[in-house]
Amino acid sequence: MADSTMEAPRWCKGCGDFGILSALKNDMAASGIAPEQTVHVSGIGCSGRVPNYINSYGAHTLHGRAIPFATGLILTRPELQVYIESGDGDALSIGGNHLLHGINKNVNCVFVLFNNELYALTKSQTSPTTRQGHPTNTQPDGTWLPPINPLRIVLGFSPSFVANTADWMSDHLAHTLAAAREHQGFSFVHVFQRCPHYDPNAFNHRDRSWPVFLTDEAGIPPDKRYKDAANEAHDPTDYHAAMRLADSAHTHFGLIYKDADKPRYDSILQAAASGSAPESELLAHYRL
Amino acid sequence: MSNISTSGLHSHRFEILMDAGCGAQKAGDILIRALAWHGCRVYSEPVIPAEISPPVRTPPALSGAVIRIASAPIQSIGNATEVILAQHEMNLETRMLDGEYAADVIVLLDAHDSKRHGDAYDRVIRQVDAAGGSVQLFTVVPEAEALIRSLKGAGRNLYYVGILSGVYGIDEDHVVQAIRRVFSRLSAEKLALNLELFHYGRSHAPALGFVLPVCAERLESPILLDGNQAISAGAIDAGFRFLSGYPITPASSILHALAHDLPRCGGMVHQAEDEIAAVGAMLGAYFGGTPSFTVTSGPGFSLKQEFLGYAQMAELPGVVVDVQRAGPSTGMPTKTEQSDLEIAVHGRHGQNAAIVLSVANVSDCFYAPHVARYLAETLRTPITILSDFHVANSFGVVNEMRSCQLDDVADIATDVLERFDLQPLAVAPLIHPNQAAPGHSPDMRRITGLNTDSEGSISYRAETAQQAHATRVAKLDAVRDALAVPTIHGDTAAGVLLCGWGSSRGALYEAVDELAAAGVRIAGMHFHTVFPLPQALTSVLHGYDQVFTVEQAYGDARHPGPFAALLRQETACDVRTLVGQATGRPLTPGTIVDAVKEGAHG
Repeated sequence: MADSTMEAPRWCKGCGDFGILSALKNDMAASGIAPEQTVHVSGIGCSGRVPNYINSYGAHTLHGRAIPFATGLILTRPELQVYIESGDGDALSIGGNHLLHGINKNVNCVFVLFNNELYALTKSQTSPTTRQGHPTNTQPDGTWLPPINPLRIVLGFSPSFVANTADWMSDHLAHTLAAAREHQGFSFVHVFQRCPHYDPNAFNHRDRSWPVFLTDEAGIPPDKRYKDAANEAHDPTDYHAAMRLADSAHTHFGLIYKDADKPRYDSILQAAASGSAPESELLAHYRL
Repeated sequence: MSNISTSGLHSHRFEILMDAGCGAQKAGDILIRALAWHGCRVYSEPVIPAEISPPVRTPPALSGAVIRIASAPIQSIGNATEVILAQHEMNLETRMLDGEYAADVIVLLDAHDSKRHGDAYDRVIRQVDAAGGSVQLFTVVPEAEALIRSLKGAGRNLYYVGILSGVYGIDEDHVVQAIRRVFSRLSAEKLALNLELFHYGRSHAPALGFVLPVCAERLESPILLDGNQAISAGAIDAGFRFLSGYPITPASSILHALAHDLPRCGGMVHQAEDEIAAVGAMLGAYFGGTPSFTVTSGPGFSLKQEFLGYAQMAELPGVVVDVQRAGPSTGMPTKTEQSDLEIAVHGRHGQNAAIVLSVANVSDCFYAPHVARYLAETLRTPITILSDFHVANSFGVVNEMRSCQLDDVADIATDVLERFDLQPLAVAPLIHPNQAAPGHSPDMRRITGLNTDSEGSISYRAETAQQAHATRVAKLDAVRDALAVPTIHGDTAAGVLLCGWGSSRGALYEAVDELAAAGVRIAGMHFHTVFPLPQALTSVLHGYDQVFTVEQAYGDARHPGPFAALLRQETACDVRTLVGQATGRPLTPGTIVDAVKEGAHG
């Protein structure tokens, strides 16, 4: 596929969003789905700009509101491949309600959470995932509260697909997006994303020894460049094991949880919308 | 004793009042159908409690149906109730506070509760007497009372239907047919008991000497429905296949009707997680090319504004039905008002006035979705339809609307547009000409709330920002230029003009007719399209000595109501508010007539 970049991204040098953008473009190419059958939907923030940089259909919507917009599209155009790009402020703060209901409705899409642990485009404010003590422009003495744990929140809503990856693990990110796309339902992909401008050392991303990759036949293969990293067997259908991973002090990468049988709101509504009653009889019910 | 007039419009109004959950609405439904079959023109307004099941014998428990019957087509609930049938004295006292009864009102009051609440009965009866009315206590016959007990309190409403149908001499077959229709889901056994109760009531109806006003002209194909039912059917006929909404009074019944009907026509109803998600999903579906709409009321309409501004920026079509209720804030959810006009036109940040349609009756409700979809898709901009609690819940018997089965909006019938004073648009300016839906074009479209140029690319350039604003304004002008000044109702040479919009039409026109009959020279003008306004309106309004509005929103001599303010802004004419009524009750012809007469003397 030809390079699908439209205009030069306006992100800072070294931003993790570049890695996610190329992974998304590569995944589109790998999918074999025509770009005009693909829609990227985003909210507001650095992550929100992604649709403007990919040669597919796109909707850069409102702050926090990518999921509802995408839901309307997915319900009515089930044949389209939909990716949603959202940041930690976008998805977990202003749009938190929509994330819960997107997971619960389990509409078919790849949801990518760009978690850089702060508000970046608005110039360094505390987000729900900012670590305690980290100074920002709104909490200059250090962020007051401990961060919320996205995995626990997501798992609390009985999701159908939850994976952890990072912008700097290109191989693992690619495999994660492919698995998320192939899963039929709301695929929640949590991506740790570097923000070199406001919090360059948030993730200790140069050290390849600390990540632990989850392994399973039905899971996501460990990143091939992380030869020294630890692997841990994990059954992604085990909900309680997934909860333990979410609660663990250590960060695990890979497929955390998958439930292929979770009901899908979109397919239920689509199946129900199969009627072809004669429209000319709409008012018959009201005849005296 | 009230007499139904024998000249001009023969009309009469009565009401049935009960505690919530006792079946007053069902009784009203039966009587409306029977009256329509009998040959009357009927208009009905429900009195609906805001809560589901408030404690009985308390003011919030009041539930009822106000029914106006006439010898000619009517579009208003009229002025005053002439006969009230009340379950007990608390219902009666609560309703009398609205002050909408005739001086010589006849009250038929069930004596059932009088043994335990004798003092309260005496007090309320004295109030009615003092006001000039009369109370006739009646006792449900013991056989019927025993049946009602066996039905665990149900069925009293059917006894009342019997009484009222007897009072008015409604053809008994018609009433029985209506009962069977309304209770079509009831078991044969229960239906028989209800019919028995009806017959008991009927045979004990007092003779009050009323003669029903019957319309000589029969409706060709009469149908009975309320405004929300008409909007629901109209939306499907207009081609909408996706409705997203969030439960809110008084819009929810559209969700209910279409949750049933849309899937049968290949569409779907999406109950979103909140009001913002509902409008977002509607826009997402329209982005995908599916005609979509959302329904809401005041509080939800406030929440939707950011997405409506986005739709203007991104050039997405969309349709919002705002069934207005009394505000601000939570206000009075089951009371009517026309106070969302300002937010509908100007409610978003950044300059982006919006196109706003309104509905005056159930027929308008059926066709408004067609016009809204035509404008939304042609101009790629969101359209708001302002309905209100009164139109949404008032039942009218009208001729069945013509099915259009609108597919391509370019095929919309001109008579449908003309109902909203519109002609087909001559131009359709767009910021970004390529607007194909996903899957249909290799020239892929990316929408954004950021400013864009004609290629759809993000642009912060001075020139493109100014140009985009000019294009959005040109869309309004495309509508403005396609609009005719609404036809004058009444004296075309009068020096005084009364203006109204939306559901005020019935009361406005009737008031003008009544004033004309009394020799007052006055004209009425009713607007279906409330923004933009026709270009020629300025010169028309300046031709009058005085221009007033009558509106169901607050306004007084010093403070123009929202519609008066809009007319002033758009025409620079000194428009004043004559009736600025924010009581939660619909406008009545009498209120307008009195205000005109007071104005003439003051």
